[in-house]
Amino acid sequence: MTDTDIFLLALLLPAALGAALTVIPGHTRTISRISLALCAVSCIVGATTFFAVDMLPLVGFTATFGPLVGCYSVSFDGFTGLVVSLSSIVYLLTVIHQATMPEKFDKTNIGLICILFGSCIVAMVADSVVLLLIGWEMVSLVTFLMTKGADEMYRWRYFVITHFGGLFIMAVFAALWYTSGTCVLSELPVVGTGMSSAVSAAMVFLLYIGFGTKLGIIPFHAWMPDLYSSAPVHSVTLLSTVCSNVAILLLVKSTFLWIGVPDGALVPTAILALAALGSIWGAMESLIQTQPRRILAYSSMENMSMVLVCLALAMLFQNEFDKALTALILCAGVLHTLNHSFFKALMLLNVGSMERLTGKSDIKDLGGLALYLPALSLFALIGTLSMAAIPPTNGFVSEWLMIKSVVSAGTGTSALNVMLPLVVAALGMCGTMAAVSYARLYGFVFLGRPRSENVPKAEKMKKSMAAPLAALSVACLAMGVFSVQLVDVINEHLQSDLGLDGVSRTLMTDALDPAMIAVILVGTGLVVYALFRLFRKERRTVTTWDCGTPLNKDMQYSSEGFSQPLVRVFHPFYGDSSEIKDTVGGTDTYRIRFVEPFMKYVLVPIGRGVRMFSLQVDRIQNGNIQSYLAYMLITLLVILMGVRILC
Amino acid sequence: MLNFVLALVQAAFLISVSPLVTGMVKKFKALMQHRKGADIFQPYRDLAKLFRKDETISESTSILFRIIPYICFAAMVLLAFMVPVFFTDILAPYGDLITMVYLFTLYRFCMVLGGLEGGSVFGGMGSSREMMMSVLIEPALLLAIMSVCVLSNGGTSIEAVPALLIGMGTAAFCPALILAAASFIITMVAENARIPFDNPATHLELTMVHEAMLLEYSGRGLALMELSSQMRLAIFMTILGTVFIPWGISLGTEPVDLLVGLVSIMLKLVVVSFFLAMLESAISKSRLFKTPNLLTASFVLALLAIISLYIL
Repeated sequence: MTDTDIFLLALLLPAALGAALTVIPGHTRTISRISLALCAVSCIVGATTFFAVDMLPLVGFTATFGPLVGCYSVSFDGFTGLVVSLSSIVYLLTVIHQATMPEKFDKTNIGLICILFGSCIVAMVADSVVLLLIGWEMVSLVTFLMTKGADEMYRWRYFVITHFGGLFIMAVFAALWYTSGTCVLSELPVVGTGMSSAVSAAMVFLLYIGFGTKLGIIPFHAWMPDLYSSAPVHSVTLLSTVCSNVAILLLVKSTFLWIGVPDGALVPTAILALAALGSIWGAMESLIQTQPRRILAYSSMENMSMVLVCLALAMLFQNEFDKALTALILCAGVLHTLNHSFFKALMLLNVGSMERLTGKSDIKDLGGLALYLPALSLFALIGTLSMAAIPPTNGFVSEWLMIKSVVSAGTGTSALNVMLPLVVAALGMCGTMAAVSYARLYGFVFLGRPRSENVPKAEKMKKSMAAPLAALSVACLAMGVFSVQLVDVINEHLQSDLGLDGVSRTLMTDALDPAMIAVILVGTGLVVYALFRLFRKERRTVTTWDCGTPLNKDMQYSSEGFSQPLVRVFHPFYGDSSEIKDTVGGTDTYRIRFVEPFMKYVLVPIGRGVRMFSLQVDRIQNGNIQSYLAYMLITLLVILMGVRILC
Repeated sequence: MLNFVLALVQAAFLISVSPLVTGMVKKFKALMQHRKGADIFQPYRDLAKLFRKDETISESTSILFRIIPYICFAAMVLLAFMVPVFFTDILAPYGDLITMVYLFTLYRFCMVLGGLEGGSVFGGMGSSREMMMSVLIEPALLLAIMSVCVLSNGGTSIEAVPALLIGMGTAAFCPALILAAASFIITMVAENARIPFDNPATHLELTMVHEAMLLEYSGRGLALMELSSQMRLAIFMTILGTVFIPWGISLGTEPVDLLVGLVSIMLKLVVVSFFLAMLESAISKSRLFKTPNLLTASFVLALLAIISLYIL
């Protein structure tokens, strides 16, 4: 056995054992705990991948597993190792969080969590077409199974949309295998894809749509909010963070390593347009959602679309602009993906804890949690600041890198320059809108006064439940403050593993030093605080200013009211709204619900079309044996004629 | 060493004149309205009074409410360290023009959260309106900065842009710079909650944006918030005077140049204050839902600025 075999066994065997254990009937809690522990072991091994790649000479290793169709080889490189390691950390913390909610243990679900870890790893390190497709299909299938508990329609919508994308991915990789003659992906840069430039451009486009269905590229995002709001929170967390990392890693590797950047500006521009629209759309829709989970769903869409903007720009820069900027914008994209997995995991687990402790999942029943769950609200604040790209958190650094590289590209002399200010405007706009949306999320869940009895009665948070959240919060801050080092690592591996021209370090390190920014911010605050402590003044606690009328729980701004001015400004884009009247306890309440236009005007009509088409097809199935014989005859004739004409 | 001392002096200068700038705007405004008006040093007295007072805090606020004034103030101090005033070397070259935009976002974000603390209707209203404007302000600000960066062709660093623009000679007086500066002025008026976007002088429900968010603050918290908002105005004016219209700033450490730089930035601050006072006396606060039109104009100006660089 080589070192790599041992490492792979250590990586996958515990999770596989964990999954196998859950088949045993009975003993739900014990078995669940053991399974989760085994999965955690796998995650810990996964977290060391990045260092293992450097220490054990695993690079370029190929293991062949058998005589089945194709070859089954894996390869670790530093770039993959980095993504695997950070994803494993997120996975580990999610698993730990799950272990702190024993009343929600479901053996099937926990088994699936174990399997999902293996699938994600396999998809990320796969070096053969077959293994990659198996890994990705497993990811899609297992995440679908893990959403048990959500409304069946939402689950199947997810299944159909992601498998639709899966078809594209399969088609692309099958074509790649066919034209290049090899199924080993790492051989592709040497052998060449054997495709004409137009075909390979089309392949890249299909690949972005394919993976985009999972990432929420417009208009395939329709499954996200409904599924996020009703599926088990840990499934959603893994789906939103680790699975997105897998998709982005595979996209980066296939575009910049395996297939190659397509010639011309058409395909990158098309992807750029879709992604930029998607990012603004995600931010806009998240403004009108009334459940934290739905806000986070649209936030995933927004963030992943921003990453796709980066990838599309990287392709453009490679062809049309300064090649040194390709690595910079790609760095931004990869960094944002990794950052996203941390702050989104933090927020989703936070919302999960909050729902568990208060029993409420709608903003209208929350508010003022900061007074009752201070630790939870601190973690949520850090997550919110990261999501809103507030310096010096990690979200800020990746957004800064994006804008920085686009502005730097602006001094070039390309005909496509005119596009760049629009990209900056789109990034700026979706960034700010998203910030508004997260200020709203934090402000109306954790600040203000309680809107229902459940808030003051919220259970206290256990230390074990707080631990993974604390770890994620620290990670969010550390990834921001030490981002210069992180960017150096990513940059180095983009050069060595993807063969890109490196960024001169001056572009990043001279222009931004988040550590010093953090030091000055905290230092100034502490100095002022110390001065104030020195000359102490009295502080009295009073009620909120109420103009003479004691305030009740409804006499405060509502989250719908908060975003209303923006909704009014952008009202043409929000589509149809309907007023809903509820009569609760004798009083009428009115709420406005917005219909997602892409659902109503794109996907539902497509569904209706497919249904009508199937009904037409159904008409030839008349159950008459003579008709079926006739169909056979006709088919045979058509095939024979076709063969005759073609050969 | 000399550079460091000078950079320290200019940061201290910027922080210490910020209340004076606000006082100046108020005085000019009063004179234009045939009032005598308060002394231009009145903001200092107000701040001193607030710093001496006790605080009252709402019982429904969390600890964040008490931390926010420190964060807002720290953000503005950091910005004051980052902006060249009369001399192009700066104290904290740890961020560039883009970082600056994000630091303003940090300030705004914290202020909005502060407004939502306490759960008062006024705070919520102010926060909501501030956020509506911010969505339109920030892209315009980013584009205005991008056009200056592309025009000066020197990356995004704050201290490099003024020297490069001056080095360009008369070529710098192109439509791009004028349009970008115009866009930046509109952004400045909006960011600093001045008429026609907001009325800093009133506490009326109909006009309140910025003041509404500060309603729950008192004593030292309020003093820090007020000082931060005065610093924000002064920093915006300084950026206008050194990044968009850099002529006069000292590029080296020659005493004569430094003197010219100091005089020119003071003149620029006086002129911009006068302009603000004139604007506030000439027009009235516009309806809330009319302000997006003006902000869109600012956005379009900035977009035209940068596109004019590519097509002219």
